[in-house]
Amino acid sequence: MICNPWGAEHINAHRALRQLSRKLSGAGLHVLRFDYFGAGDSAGDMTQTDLRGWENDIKSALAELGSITGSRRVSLIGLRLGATLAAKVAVSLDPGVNSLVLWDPVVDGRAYLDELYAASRVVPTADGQLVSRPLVLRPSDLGGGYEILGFPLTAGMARELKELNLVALTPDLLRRTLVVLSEPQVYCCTLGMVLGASDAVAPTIEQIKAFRCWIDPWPNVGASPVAIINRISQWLT
Amino acid sequence: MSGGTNERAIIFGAEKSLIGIVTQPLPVPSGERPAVVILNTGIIYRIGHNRMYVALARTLAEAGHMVLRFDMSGIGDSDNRNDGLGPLDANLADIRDAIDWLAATLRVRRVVLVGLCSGADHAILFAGSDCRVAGVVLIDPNLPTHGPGYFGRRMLRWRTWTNFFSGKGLFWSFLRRKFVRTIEITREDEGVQWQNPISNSQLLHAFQESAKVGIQMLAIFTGGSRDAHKVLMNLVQRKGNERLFRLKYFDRNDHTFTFEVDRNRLSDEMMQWLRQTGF
Repeated sequence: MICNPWGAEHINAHRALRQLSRKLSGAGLHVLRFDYFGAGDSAGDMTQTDLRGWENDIKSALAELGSITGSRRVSLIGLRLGATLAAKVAVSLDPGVNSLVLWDPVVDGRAYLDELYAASRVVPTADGQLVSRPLVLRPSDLGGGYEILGFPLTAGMARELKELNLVALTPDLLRRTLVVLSEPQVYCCTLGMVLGASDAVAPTIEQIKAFRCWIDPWPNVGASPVAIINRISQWLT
Repeated sequence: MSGGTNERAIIFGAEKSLIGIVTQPLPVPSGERPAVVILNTGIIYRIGHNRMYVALARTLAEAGHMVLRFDMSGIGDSDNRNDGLGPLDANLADIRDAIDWLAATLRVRRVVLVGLCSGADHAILFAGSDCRVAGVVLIDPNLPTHGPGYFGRRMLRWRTWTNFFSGKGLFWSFLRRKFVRTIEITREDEGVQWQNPISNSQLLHAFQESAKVGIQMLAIFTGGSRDAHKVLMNLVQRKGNERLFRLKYFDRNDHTFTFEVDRNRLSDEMMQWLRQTGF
């Protein structure tokens, strides 16, 4: 089962995640992609969501997948925020999930928020130029927070994101975990050190230089991180 | 399902390869009111930039319109077609498949096509070819750079010929551009060169055909350019055709409607236009 990233990252990555799902299904695996509440085609909007709700959505989707396929073994694949949420669910359901793939996970929620805020300060103007400007505040009666890359990030969601800490989950991570990194990341190095030092888990951490599919692909429209897709497929099958 | 609307996923097309989401008002209206079909922008899948088409579809459905937003072949969750059509023809065939599905399944008789950028181009190129299209909402469409009789008029200008013999003007600048680009694309670090696959004459014909068969049009242009009015008026030419067009400039908008206030304005503008045109 594939867990999406947040907001604009989800839209940008949709093509790659579909390709991953087709690769896996071609290899004989049932695959479920789904949208969290308030995201994609699902009901609601982003102002009505929270991370705890999205974790429950992952659990509901797992139940649905089991019900549709009758399969007793399940792997969770998550990209960016989806990876972090997948890890949280996997830990909470252990031994309900057999293996876990964390693709460029959000390791430190505070750093992720800073990254989102920084990206949102560079905005396109009417004539197509990119300029720096302050974040756009949202009305407090509509959940507050900011507009981030075209999506509302409410104050409540920002608080939850800030508390995310993948490193803290490592002692409980599944033995069969693959961490795939498209590029060196400071926080992922921290994760790697913790994972490497832990006796409890034996994860596979791999850096595979590839196109970061969650970033606005222009002008590489349609490009896909083929090496990562192939590696995940190979590892799972 | 939310409020007074209902949403469901559909699979359609001859090969059942196209995927879309239908948003219906509750109770389901009769087939008299046009349904709205929202087309992809580039390769962004059916929810649109910033998920704008999801919100738009729900707003339109709450106002009583059936809405279909779908992925054209090879985009989002839809598979490629296997009928050998080229990309543009495949896109236009996909739109026909979508309208056929609405007609066969929901008894829709008329549709309004909505598109941004390439979606707007597809909407206008398709519109005149199918009598079920009653209106189009074109957001930042490509416009023909020159209208009918353009070259003939230029040939009659004295300046055209003085430019030609002095190495200036459009002819020579065209050759220079072509020559320079030929050199540039041989460089190893050259990025992808994007060219609009739709020709000027195709666009020109599409706009004229649309006006000829009386299709209502809302055209919205983001950014600061205000040239569209002149171009559109040149295209329609015939007296009385002006009533088919509503032209709006969203001066402060960026092309992909990054901000909520701009998306809300788009939604309001569309709602107002639909009401005023009797849709």
